[in-house]
Amino acid sequence: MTAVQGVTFTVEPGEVVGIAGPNGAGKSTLIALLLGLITPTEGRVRIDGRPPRRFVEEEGIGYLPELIPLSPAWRADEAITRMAVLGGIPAAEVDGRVNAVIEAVGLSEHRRKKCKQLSKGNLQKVGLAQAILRDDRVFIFDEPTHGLDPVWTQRFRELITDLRRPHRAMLIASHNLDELERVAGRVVIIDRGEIQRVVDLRSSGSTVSGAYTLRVAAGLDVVLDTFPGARATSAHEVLVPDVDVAALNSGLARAIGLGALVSAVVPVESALEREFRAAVSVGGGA
Amino acid sequence: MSAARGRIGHYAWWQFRDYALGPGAGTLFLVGLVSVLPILGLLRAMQRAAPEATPAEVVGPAFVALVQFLSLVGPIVAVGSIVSADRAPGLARFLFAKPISVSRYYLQLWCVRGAGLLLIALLCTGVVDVFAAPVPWQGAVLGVALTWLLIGGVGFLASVLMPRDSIYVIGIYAVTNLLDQFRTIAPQWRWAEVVLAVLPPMHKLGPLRSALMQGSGWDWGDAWHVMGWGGACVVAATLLVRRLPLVR
Repeated sequence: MTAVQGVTFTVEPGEVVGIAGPNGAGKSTLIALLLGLITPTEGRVRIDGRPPRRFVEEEGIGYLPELIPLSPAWRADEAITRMAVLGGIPAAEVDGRVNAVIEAVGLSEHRRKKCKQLSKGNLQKVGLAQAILRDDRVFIFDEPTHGLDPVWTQRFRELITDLRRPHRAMLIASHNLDELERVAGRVVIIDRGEIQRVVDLRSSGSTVSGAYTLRVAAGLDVVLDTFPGARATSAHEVLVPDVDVAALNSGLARAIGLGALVSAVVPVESALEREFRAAVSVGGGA
Repeated sequence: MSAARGRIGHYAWWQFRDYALGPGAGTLFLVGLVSVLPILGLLRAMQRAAPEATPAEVVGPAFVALVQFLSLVGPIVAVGSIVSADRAPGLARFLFAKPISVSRYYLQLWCVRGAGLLLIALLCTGVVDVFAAPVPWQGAVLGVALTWLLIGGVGFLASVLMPRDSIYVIGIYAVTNLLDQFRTIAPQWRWAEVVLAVLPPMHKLGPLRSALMQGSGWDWGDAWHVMGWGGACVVAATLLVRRLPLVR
């Protein structure tokens, strides 16, 4: 059985690239290939010109797996200390570095608990903490916000921003398209083991068209008159179907000029969601 | 930019701790319960029933049984799932994203567990030697070491190649020892000899351990056969572990 085929893409230093796809699309297989945990039957994978296993053995990768299969008997801080030792952090710096990452992911009050006693979210934080122990050149996060509450999902985004460096490449596999849209520059959409499309989020925002929900504080009728085909979905909301960004802005300016007060403009689906839906339905996936 | 290599040598302590608190503790408990305590009890009982018997006469056969038991259970428990256990739940994903050599990690783990097993052997035989009667503990520990090299080596390779590797190792142990018995009962059935020639020579471990404990000369041909098989399996496992998939 072929899990991944015909996948060709490059991640440059300084880039944050997302990988999106439905369940069973091949994301985890792709990551296992990138880590050199499995080898391709055809084709090649290179990190900085080297085979992945060689690169990992020489430099290491900051990696957060989708599942955190640490021994249930290990304490949270013990698990991170072990990874610090394997990560080559000098003995004199291990405690300081472990404390710093525990603090960074908000695990201080749970650090002495055994992994089996941790909630899913806190176990995820242990995984995240060990991934950011080192100043790696390559980071791979597989479903990084899985199990995290909204506060820590937001914190994760800040963490990614903090980790950005010109020499560093980051790859984030996630089901959460909203999250990818916020942190990634490009998103590779895969389904059934193949790349369906690559969405460049840095350039897609200005050209997309789609449906928007307008929250209207005053002048609902003015807004409805301004956008042909628009309809009110409640006393304070208007759905504007299929409008491009230029038409949306000129319409808003006109409505506001006529006395309407618009408190929010929310795309019904993001550019990435639209691309994802199209890519996966083209591929026939879920 | 970080290019520091992992401090895998320092991780040996954690590997030892994992063995000591897991399979090592289990082995020690089992051997203590099944062998050491009964030997001490037997000695007391015999001293009351037959005071003319020397402690060495009383303890001797039971000590041989202890070493046999430890030599079988110890290596199988220590080497069981040594690699395959990391693959299935995905611990390997954590370990081998760090800048460490996969081959060195597992070779070190194999050595650490072997050292742990020898410590257990030293402890169990030492207890009998100190509290019961003088026994050939040096020969016994060497016998356990030889057994570890073969059973531990075959188990290491099996764990690299397949899940549920312990069943395979126990199977080989059972088949080789049964065939060894069979060929003495029915020497005309040459196929048993042929099968034994291609399987790991686990049937030779018993006589070699006995020779070591008795301090008598041993068959160097058999010793090289056992050490060669064990060493080759360790080398093959060390080379293959990096080339085969590390996750399932």
